[in-house]
Formats: sequence, structure tokens, C-alpha cells
Amino acid sequence: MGQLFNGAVYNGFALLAWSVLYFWIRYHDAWLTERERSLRAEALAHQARLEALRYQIQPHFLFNTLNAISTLVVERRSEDASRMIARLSDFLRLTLSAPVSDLTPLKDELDFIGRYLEIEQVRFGSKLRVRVDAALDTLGALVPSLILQPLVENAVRHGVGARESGGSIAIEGRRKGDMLSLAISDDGPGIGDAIDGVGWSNTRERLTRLYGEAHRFERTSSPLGTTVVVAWPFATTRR
Amino acid sequence: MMAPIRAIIVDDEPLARRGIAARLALAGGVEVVGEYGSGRAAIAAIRSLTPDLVFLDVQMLEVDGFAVVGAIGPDQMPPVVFVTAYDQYALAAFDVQALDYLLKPIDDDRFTRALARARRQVADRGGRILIRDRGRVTFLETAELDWIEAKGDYVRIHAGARAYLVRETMAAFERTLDPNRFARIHRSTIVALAKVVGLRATSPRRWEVLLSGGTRLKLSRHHRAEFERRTGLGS
Repeated sequence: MGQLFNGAVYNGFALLAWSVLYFWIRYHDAWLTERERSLRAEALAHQARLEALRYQIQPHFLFNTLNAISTLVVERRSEDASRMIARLSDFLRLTLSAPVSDLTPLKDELDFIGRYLEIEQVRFGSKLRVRVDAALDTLGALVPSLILQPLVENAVRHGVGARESGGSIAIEGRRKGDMLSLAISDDGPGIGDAIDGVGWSNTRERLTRLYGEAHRFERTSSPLGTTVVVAWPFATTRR
Repeated sequence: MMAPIRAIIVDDEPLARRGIAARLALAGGVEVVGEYGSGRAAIAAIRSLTPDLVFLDVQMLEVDGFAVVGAIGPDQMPPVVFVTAYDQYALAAFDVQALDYLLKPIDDDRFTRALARARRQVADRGGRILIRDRGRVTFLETAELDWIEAKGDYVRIHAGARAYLVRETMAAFERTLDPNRFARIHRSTIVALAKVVGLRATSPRRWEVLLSGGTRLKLSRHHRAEFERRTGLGS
């Protein structure tokens, strides 16, 4: 009798234990799924945000470049027109299809900027002078793809477009301790109280999302010119 | 005297200026008297050169296209064709009575239409008319016109010893003339009132208008009363 009772207690206890275990596992499983879903949503939102922050081609740049090509065609300078179309295609291919939030070696980024500046030099002629100076040990350093583009565009606009005599642009890459530092300068009349464009705030947010507090993004401007410095932890291999 | 339109081109991109200059050279009848890379230089040039026509970029740093129009003032501003990569300024351009608004890259057909419109407007202002004779485009001072005759879809314009054949209907051509200075005397004849020296009957019901160069033109019965009233040559 006592044994029977004991057995019933034991069975009852075992049933309870199993039930608890079962429900715990089910709950935990659901919790894990939910957590995974929310993490994935967060990652997607993060990705989407980064995508939105990445450089986007400016319509007026595209239309002005097409207009320049149109001039070359009217003037029957077909070789120049053809070269310009090739450069514009390079530019479009990279801006429209470069992997989002991806890091790219500085060398590739400068190569891309070079194509862009080649287009601008045809548009502005002798008005635009360019100097690119990146230390050898920085060429393999990783940079967020297209990060320089809006900064260089600004320099062209303020440094060269502002004056009839044109101007110079310099891009400099240096390793400073454990940081990669890039400087974009123009010798234009300074930006004064100009309001920062979308490109500026997007660049800041993108750097914050990628590097947190470990980045620098500064601008100094005077009537003799403007310099923008960006810096982040030096790295040469993809994470 | 035939004079081309005097135009200036304002754009901060040399290649964009050349695109307009090249198209104007192809079209003919327009002399580019200056090219400027900034709004500031454009203001000075409009004041000193008083061009007939201005091709004006909108988006320039510091002094943009609209600031140029504002600085010169609507009364002093020559006809403007805005040329821009942006389409959002069309309303503002309309507001300052721009002659036309061209988008970059330039569409040749639209450019041709804008130029035709410019020629008409410039001609109106200067007391000149546009002559497109055998592919050449020139201007004729309206004061030089003697008389105009209809030739089907064409009109023949007589000015001194010269005559020009222009592809335009009589009715359309008449609209470009100042009605105070020209008069219909026949279904197919318009005369410059300043050149009329007399009126004479060649038979009881037929009349002729005499012009200063010796030309004699038939006056239709239908137009006679009105013509006599305007010239004071009636009996």
C-alpha cells in the first residue's frame, strides 16, 4: 500500500518534472526563435541604414556630365566623347553596384576617385588641378567604400566651382599610429556659413555606425581653403 | 542692314559654354560677344555690352542665375534662356519671364525652338524682322521694307533693290509687323505706309498705290476705304 502510494507520488513528480522540462524547452525554443528574428531584423535595419548612408550619385553630376559629352559630340571630338562615356560608365558601375557597407583597400578607393576626377577635369578643363598623395603603407588599408566621394565632390564644388580661376584639390593618406588618416583639401574661398549637405551628415553617421567613437571627422575652413580630415583604426585585412 | 543677334553665354563649366557656342555657330545669325564663368562677371557684361540675348546657367556658386536677373532688374534684362541640369527652377524662371528653360544635357530640337523664339523676340524689340532666306538667317530693319507680296506658302519681301523669299504665309508674316506702319492694300499685298507717295486711278474703278521707288501696286476695292483713311490720300 505504502509502496503503491510512493509509486504514485514518484510518478506524479516525474510527470510534473517532465512537463516543466517540456514547457521550458518549448518556451526557450520560442524565445530563441524570437530573439533570432529580432536580431535579424536589427541587422537588416542596420544594413538598410548603411545602404542609405552610402554615397549616392548626384543627379546634377550625371546630367552635367552628359551635357559635357553632348558638347564633345557637337564639336565632333569623338575620341574625347568616347573616353568620357567610358569614365562615366566606370563611375556608374562602381556607385550603383559596389557592395554595401563593404570595406575596400584605399588603393581601390583612390582609383575610383581618380576616375571621378578625370570626368570633372574634362568638365572644368584647366580650372581643376588635382594632387593625390597616399603613403605606400596606406594603400592596402581598408576604407568604407565610396567614403571619400562626397567629400571630394564638395571640395570640387567649393574649391573650383566657386572661382573663375579654378583651384586645386589635394588628397592625402597617412598612417598615424594605429589610425588611418585621410585629408581632402581645396584652396577655394572657404565654405563660410554654408549649410552641410546630406552627404556630410550621412558620412558622419556612417562612420559612427562602423567605428563608434573610434573615428575622427573634422573640417577646418578659412578664406584660403578648406580641409576635411577623416580617420579610423588602421586595418589591412577584411574582418 | 542685317545684323546678327548679340548673345552672351554664362556657365561655370567651360565645356557647357562651348556646347552652346557650338550650337549657335551651327545655327548661324548669332554672334557670341562674350562667355562668362560666374554670375558676377555676367552682371558686369550685361551692363557694359547690353547683349540682345543671354544664355544663363542657374546653379552657380555665390551669384546664381536668378541673382543675375535680380541685379540687372526686369526692365533692363535682355531676353534670357536658362540652361540648367535641374528641372525644379522652371516655375521660378517663368516668374522672371524667361524666354525659355533648357535642360542639360541639351536637346538639339528644343535648343532650335528656343533660338527661334529668341530671334522673334529680339526682332520685335529692335524694330527688326527675321529673314530666313535660302538657308541664311538674318535680320532686316523694318524701316527698310517697301512692300510684301504673297506667293502661295511664301512671301516675297521687297526692300530697296533687294527681294527676299521667305517661307511663311502672308497672314503669319503680317502678324510680325507693326500695324501702325504697314497696311494691306490687296489680298496679296502689304505696303509700308512710310513709302507710299501717292494714289491714282488707272480707270474709273481701278486704283494704284505709288511707292517712293517708283513701284506701282494694285489697290483692291475691298481695302480702298481703309487705306485712304489711314494715308489721308482719299479724294
